[in-house]
Amino acid sequence: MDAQFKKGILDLCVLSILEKKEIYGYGLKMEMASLMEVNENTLYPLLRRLEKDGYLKTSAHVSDQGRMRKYYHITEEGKKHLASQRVEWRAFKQAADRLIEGEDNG
Amino acid sequence: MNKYLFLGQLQSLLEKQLDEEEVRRVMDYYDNYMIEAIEYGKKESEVLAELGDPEHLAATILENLKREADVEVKEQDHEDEAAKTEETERNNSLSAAFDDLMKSTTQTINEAGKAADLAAGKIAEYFTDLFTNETFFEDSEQLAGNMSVMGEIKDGMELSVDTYDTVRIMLANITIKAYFSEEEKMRIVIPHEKDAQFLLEVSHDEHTLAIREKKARIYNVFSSGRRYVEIYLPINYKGKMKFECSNSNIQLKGKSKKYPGPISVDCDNGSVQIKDTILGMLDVKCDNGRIDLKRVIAYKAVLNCCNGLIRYDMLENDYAKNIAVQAQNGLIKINNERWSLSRVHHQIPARNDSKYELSVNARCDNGMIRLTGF
Repeated sequence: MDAQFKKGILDLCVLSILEKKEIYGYGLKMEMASLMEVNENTLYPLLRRLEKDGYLKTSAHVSDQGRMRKYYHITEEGKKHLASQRVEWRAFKQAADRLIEGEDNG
Repeated sequence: MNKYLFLGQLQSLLEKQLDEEEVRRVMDYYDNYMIEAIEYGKKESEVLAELGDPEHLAATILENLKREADVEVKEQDHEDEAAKTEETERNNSLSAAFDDLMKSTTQTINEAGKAADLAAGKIAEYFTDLFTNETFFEDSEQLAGNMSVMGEIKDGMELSVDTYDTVRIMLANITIKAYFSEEEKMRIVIPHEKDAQFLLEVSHDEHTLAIREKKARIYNVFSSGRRYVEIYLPINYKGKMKFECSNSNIQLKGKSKKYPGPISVDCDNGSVQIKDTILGMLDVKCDNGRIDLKRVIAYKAVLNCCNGLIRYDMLENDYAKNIAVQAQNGLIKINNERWSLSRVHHQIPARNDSKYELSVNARCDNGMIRLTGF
């Protein structure tokens, strides 16, 4: 898969997960891994970029195990970005479906 | 390879090309990641296998960070690159050899351990008999897993300790310089040298305040000299003070006007030096190490040091009542000095022969005991 293309999809996935709930590093990895093959060395830089762009924030609070745990959550800006990316994604998906599946009658 | 070795290697690889703040972020992430994975039920070895070789991981993180997050990545110095690779290889083979050695040593120790357990049972009985009125021995409780974290320790931080029964200091591979002070609160001073940098964390429950290292980096035995922390202990504190610090050097000194609470020190493979002070109850355990007490008065002293050296240079006085010393395969020297007490402490009454009661129990299999000045 084209790297640029995959990057966009990964952004979309991470932000979509974060939109539903705040999540910690390994939890995010597990959620992502259940969807697609994702490597640990791509996830960190991706999170770092999203943080730098202001789409997500980290905060630390105490977990059930009594340990400080770092959670990622989405910012307002992140939500806006996600919404616009979603629109683009839907448009792309429809176009691709039409092309690949030959659903030009729909 | 274990977690600390892995994180240590990763860190030193990243440090070459990222600034400190970025390194801290990455290390924070992977440290957390591994803890979380283990909490989730994975084995440490599985997580390590997933993450792969630290060099590869570092290289891909750097590449992705530069491309994706536009993080500044310094160019590596290619000239000494070859030398560095060679060094890494050498370190790797060294660490493999070390692993092998540890494996075989552990085996031998396990066998010896079984025999030693039998003997240890008898010794424990002996000591318990000795101090039936106040059991000073205490099983190391479960590591304070359910303590809540109060936060990081900043340089010069003061901690109110008088509300706690016990203060535990749990550090390893470090030099601890502890002083008795007139201050009401406990104060911790962390040096600023780059080599000595580390983060301490303080946590507590109802009874206990614990201080430990927040993020253990990889340290070898030789770095313990450079890492040090100063702790000022309030002499008015009557609770228990426990040092649980293996491979460390613990130095305790200071004129105490009031007798402090019980102090216990557990420091395998390290050294414990206590100087010029009056203590209440003192319990020191330091296998394969060295216990050195100079001009010290303790009401009760239990010193335990297999394969090591115990030297107790005590001051003759009415205050000290009990000394129990044990050093299998070691050397014990106790010197009862007829020094003028006023040289060190004014509060201790001079010896009154009619009241003078001191019991000394020294045990030393395969070693030597020397008592002088009694």
